[in-house]
Amino acid sequence: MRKLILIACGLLLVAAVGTFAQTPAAAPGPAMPTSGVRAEILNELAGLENHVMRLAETVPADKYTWRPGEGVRSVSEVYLHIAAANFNLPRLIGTQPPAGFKVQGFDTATTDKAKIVETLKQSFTHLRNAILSLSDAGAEKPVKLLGRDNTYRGVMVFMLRHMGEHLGQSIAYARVIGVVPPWTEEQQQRQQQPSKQPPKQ
Amino acid sequence: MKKAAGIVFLAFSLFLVAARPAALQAQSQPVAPTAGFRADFLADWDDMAKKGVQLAEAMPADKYTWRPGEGVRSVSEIFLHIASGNFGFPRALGIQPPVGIDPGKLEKSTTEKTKVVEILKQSFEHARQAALNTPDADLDKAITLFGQKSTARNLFYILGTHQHEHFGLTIAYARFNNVLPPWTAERQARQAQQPPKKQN
Repeated sequence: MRKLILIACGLLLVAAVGTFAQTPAAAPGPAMPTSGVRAEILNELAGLENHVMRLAETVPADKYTWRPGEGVRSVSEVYLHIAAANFNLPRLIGTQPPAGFKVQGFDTATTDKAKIVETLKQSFTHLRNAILSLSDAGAEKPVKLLGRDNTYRGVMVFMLRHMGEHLGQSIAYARVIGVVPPWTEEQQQRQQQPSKQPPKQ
Repeated sequence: MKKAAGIVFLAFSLFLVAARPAALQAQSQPVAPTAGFRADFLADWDDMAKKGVQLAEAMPADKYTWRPGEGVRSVSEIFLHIASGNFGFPRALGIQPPVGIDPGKLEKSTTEKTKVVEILKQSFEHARQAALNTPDADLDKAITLFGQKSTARNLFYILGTHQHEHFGLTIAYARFNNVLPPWTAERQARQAQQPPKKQN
């Protein structure tokens, strides 16, 4: 009888350890805000990230070295420039880039599509976490941006604007090399589908 | 004595007439904020507006109908799309575009450079005034934007991001047409004037 109880306890212990091992560690990051300055900035960032990532994934790998002219950034260089900014600019709001990151030469470090897409993904996570680590009240904190007095919020606005501009540049590049942005293609398909609504009288 | 009093009265009246329009103007022009969200927004906005107009002016008139491919916006359509946004977005705050401007029809309304540049300038100023006339206390005010609940502040975030995206597009269009953005040309000219750095 004693032996049976010991075996049962042993089995319970093994099962319990297994359950703990399978339980994912609680996410240490701060919760996503649902209103206020950071919620609005993060919402804008999510829209930009979605378009940048989808466009980078859609442009063919052999077009990553295309550039509109000498001395102008190539497709890969524009994407890596966005990634470099995502890693580098959060320094201004108190988050250091990953170990080993160097902004000089970052945008010409590779032209490999898979590596660039992965780097972009990591850079967006880095930027999002930097914003999440702040509080809305912290947005007013003063900081110098390009040699002028600014605030943490001003830096976040600058980061969005900078990214928006380079997304626009990437969209123009895509158009010239014959790539339709995936969200535009989806919109066109929706418009071409016959309406399920009965025609208006 | 009577004559002197008459002169004083006349001078005072003239002073009042001259002072009144200035006072009215001062009342109608809201003061630009020096801190807070709108100060951040306007610093960025003014820089983009200046560069956007500079680029529109630098593009040759005969390139205004250039487009990178069929079904893609042309140079004039992009600039007028930006203008359309500048006039259209503030409507969600109750600020209507000037009489005679329909943001929905603006994009294809003209391909003439001088007209496009003028509309663009007017539109940037319209959006600027919208920010100046929205007090900080109203930024959290609930509005409806594209059918969804939003805030006045969020409208300015979306407006800024949208315009920067299309501004980036126009820079690329300029590059495709061998037009160097004027601010890049100025920077390059400054760099060329600097003496070479001494080598260690």
